[in-house]
Formats: sequence, structure tokens, C-alpha cells
Amino acid sequence: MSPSFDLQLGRESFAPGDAVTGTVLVTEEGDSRALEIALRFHEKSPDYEEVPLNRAQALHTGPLETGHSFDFSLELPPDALPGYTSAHGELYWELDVKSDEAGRDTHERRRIEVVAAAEPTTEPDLFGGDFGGAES
Amino acid sequence: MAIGAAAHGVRRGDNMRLDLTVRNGARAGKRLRVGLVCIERYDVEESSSDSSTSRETREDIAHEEWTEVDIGVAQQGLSFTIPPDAPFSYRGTCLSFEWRAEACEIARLRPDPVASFVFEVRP
Repeated sequence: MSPSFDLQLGRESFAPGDAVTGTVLVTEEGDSRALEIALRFHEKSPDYEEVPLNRAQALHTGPLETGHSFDFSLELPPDALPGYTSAHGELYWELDVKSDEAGRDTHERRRIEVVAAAEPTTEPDLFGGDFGGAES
Repeated sequence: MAIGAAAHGVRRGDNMRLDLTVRNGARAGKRLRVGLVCIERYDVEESSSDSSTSRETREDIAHEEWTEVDIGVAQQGLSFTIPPDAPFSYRGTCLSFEWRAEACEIARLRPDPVASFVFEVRP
């Protein structure tokens, strides 16, 4: 039997460099070989999907019992980009709890919001000047 | 003709100031527009008649803003606002967003730019 999970987060919105922390609660026991959680940045076009960043944390090895809970902490990169949805694609962050099983693995996925990094107040641009201009 | 900018990059919601220089030899009667354009490139799977598939990259304009300029003025500054909800610069594997500043002749068919450069828009 496949286990079920409840992915509990203290909040849904994060800034670059933040630790994404929470708990995976087993709501239904199952025959799992291993449990892990991954934080991924997804890049999606109409027909393709890439994962430029993938950070995983092992949570448990062996069968899972109802009521088990596992804390996790995965850090966003300091230069993490926010999500964006365009006419033809999407950038987004997702947490993926995966139970490795003999048959089809069980996943519990949740998107999280990453906000744009704050920037310091504008200082004079020491490197200012014309650049990159093409001419005719 | 040349266009440049004082800043190397801007954030969404900021103003982007362009400096346009029209040198001697600009033909009278020409009409010119200057602006910003964000090009979205995205990969799709194309099927051909022999049932094979291939990966192709398509383009679309995610954002553009233009203003017509007086070609008789040698030096002029132009200001554009990057919308806060516009894409930021991103170069991925199957999806990318590229921001360009361009000067183009105004013509019935979309002409190639006579001056342009790529700049960065940060989130």
C-alpha cells in the first residue's frame, strides 16, 4: 500500500537565501523504501521542462507508519529568481516529497512563492556610461 | 546612429533611460522609432510529415513599448518604464526572456533595427 503525506509549511512565501522549513507528516502508512524531499526550480515551455536547480534532503529509510513526522530544511540560493508565468512558459519553485516504492513512487508536490530579492538603495553607478550600443 | 544607456541594468518597475545620437548623414524624411522589446523564446516539439519530431525554438514578443523620435535632433534622451509585472531577463534551456533597446525605421513591414543593444532586467 502506498503511503500518504501532509506537507506542512510555516509559510508559503520566501525570499532568496531563506531556509524553506517544514514537516512531512505521514497520514497513511505504507511500504516505502526511502523518503526524501526536494526543492526544485522548474523551467517549462509548452512541450519541455527543465530543472536547473535541485536540492534534496533524505528524511527516512524503510516503511512509514501513520503519525510519523519528519522535519526538513532546504536553503534557497541567495540569487534565487522569483516565479513567472508568461504566454508560452513558466518559471516556478516546487517542493516534492517522494516515497521510493517497489512500484510507482508516491509524490506530494507543493509550489512555493519566491519573491524578488531586495536591493540596496540606489547608489551612483561608478561604472556608468554608454555600453553595448550598435551603430549604423 | 547609436543608442546607449547610462545604466547596465534595471529592475522591473524602474525607468530605463536611453540616449539616442543621430549622426550626420541621417536621411531627411526618414521616420524613426525607439523603444524596448522583451523577446520570449520557447522550445516546442515539431512533428514532420514522416512522423519524426524535432525540437524547435520559437519567438514571441512578451513586451514592447515604442516612441517616434525626431530624426532632426542630434542628441536626445528617452525614458521608458519597465512594467513591474513584465518578465525579467532569463536565459534557460527551454525558455528565455531577452530585453533589447532598439531603434528602427518606421516602415510598412517590420524592418531590422538600425541600432540596438541587449540589457538586463533584474526581478
